[in-house]
Amino acid sequence: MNNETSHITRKEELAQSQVFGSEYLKKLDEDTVPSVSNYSDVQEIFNAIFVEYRLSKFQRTALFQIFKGFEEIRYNLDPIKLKSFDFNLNNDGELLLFRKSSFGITTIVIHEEEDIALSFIPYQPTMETVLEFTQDPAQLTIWAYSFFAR
Amino acid sequence: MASCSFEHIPERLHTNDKPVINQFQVGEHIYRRCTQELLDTPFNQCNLYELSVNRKGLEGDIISREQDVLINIKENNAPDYDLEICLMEIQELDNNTLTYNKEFESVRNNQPEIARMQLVHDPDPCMYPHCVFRIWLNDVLVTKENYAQTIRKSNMLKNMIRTALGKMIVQRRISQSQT
Repeated sequence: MNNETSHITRKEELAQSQVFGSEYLKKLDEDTVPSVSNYSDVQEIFNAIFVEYRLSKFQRTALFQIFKGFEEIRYNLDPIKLKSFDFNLNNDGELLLFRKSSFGITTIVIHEEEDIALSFIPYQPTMETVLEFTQDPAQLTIWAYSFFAR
Repeated sequence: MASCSFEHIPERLHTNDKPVINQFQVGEHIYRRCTQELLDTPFNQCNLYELSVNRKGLEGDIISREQDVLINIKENNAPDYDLEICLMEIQELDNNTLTYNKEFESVRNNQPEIARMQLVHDPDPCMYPHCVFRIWLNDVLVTKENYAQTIRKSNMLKNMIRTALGKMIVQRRISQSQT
């Protein structure tokens, strides 16, 4: 919460600028997308996914790990970094967590078994595309940070 | 090819005797329709076989407009699809043939796997600019019928293909009917 307070204070200070105040506000408002939209708690999203979808054992394990990472970000790092994201289960039974930022789209794909992928597709072709794979759900605790990095 | 008999299809989109254009152009636009929910990630939900798109055409020989991809060619006088348009751009081609053929390699169950994705101009009698992304797995064409037995379990290859397709997206646009 301290981080949110300092963010609001800083925003008010920058808005005082006669020349650039409106630009600062515009930029800061772009960055303040709702955190985990429609939910006030990471746990609620976690529960919603479990309720809505029939997940494999591998997917459930992976999901535990990634939300463990989200909780670490929320409570130990900076809750503001926990931005809005979406999820769905596609026709192949793959659980997708994805978010878009001003830089591009980041996706974590948790397959029914064995494989997990992290991808980042930038809007600017000059930025690097990221595609990583793992079969270790524990890796997702680290990937949780990458999910919100861009 | 059979001629188009649907009254609502503009004459300019009828294939008639027009040639198949095997070559593409770097920078050429292709258009795919999708729901608004999938506008950001149109290829994450769909199965990876016979992905239909429209091509804009080569420079100096434009054969379609963006909105044409919303025209319903399934039945006569059908209304346009109430969907959004995902604008994609061809960014790389085979230098010699000017065709789009991309290969992806992976290993599954200690066995190497190779997927190939090809963009093909595939005119329909009522939609000359129609194209299709076709995918082969180990030289077997992936179809609706064999999808579960072919690429469905090749998770890494699917992610590579989806990423390659996602990189081609240059703009996610709300259709004019929504404005």
